[in-house]
Amino acid sequence: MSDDAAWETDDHLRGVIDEYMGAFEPDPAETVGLRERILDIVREDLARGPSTRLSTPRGNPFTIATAAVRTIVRDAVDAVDGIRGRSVSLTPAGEPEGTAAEVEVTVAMRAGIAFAPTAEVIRESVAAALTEQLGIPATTIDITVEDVYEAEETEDG
Amino acid sequence: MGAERAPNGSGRTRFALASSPVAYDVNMARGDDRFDIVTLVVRAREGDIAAFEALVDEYERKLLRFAWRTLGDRQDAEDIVQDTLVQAWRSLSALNEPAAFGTWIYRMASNRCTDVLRRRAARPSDASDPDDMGHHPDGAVSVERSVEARTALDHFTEVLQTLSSEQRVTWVLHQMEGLSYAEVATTLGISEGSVRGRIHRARTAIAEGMQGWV
Repeated sequence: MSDDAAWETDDHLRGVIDEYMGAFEPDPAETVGLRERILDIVREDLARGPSTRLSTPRGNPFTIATAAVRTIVRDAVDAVDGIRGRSVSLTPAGEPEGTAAEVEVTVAMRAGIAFAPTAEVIRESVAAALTEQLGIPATTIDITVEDVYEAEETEDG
Repeated sequence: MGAERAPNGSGRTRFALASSPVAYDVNMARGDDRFDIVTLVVRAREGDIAAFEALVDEYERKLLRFAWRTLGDRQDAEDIVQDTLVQAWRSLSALNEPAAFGTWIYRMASNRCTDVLRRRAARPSDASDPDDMGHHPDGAVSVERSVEARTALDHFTEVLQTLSSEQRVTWVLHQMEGLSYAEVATTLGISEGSVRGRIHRARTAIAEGMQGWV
């Protein structure tokens, strides 16, 4: 601590350090290229990601990017008021396999939300999304609340 | 209506609240973030590109500023930020504690900065002799400036280059990025005593190097 104190009292040196810090402060507009380079690489990676094998009700198999399946489920979870989707896992189920799915999701929940009725809303939302967008029913939808967050000013209005 | 959709009535629900994360890592300063850091990391880990974009937006400039101040070279700093964030994306599943994302990427960036500084020091042309500093090829000081026109800032930039790689990274994290000794220690994976020692030596070297200038 005394080291800190002695250091801070040197105003001239402090001024030079502040000047240095100001000189090496990136302009947000100048980092756009860097951001795009990073995200381009990430998008390419994602395109080579794993896929999930599902099946139409008639038993015709098809594959879909696992990330896309997760997005369908995650969006359905996010659509429920006071719920933020976190982890999503979807396992092909049914007979023949892939004609249905077992879903597990973890979520963060806004403080003050009544969980039991909300869990049913989440299940309905996820089941409806899977039926509408993939044409397959969910056999089970497990929901784990792993965190509670405080409401933000903007959210309540 | 629940009865119409037979499959969705089943499934378990449970609470499994995680322990509180470290304050330093959950500092999401910007107001437009819809999600907390743990949610973003967990989603990004499972291929949610929007969540990863939010993480990039949160950390890219901070990391760039840190690397730039440490290395004094913008291009080297950009390379380190790109490399760090792409590596973070690819190895997110190795991050056991999502709340520690901030510490984790600062550590990756710090290690890369240290490597760059070591490589520079290993090059014969990069003498650390103070008499030779004006000719440092990677410094932020523009070479066309004459010795007479040099400012205290130019001189300070050169003095920084005389610090060891470890001292420099440690000192920038604390003095410029505002991390406490404990946070620097966690970030670099060293003891708090080592952090104190490095910062003390860095300050001594800077004070000596700046004699006559400030």
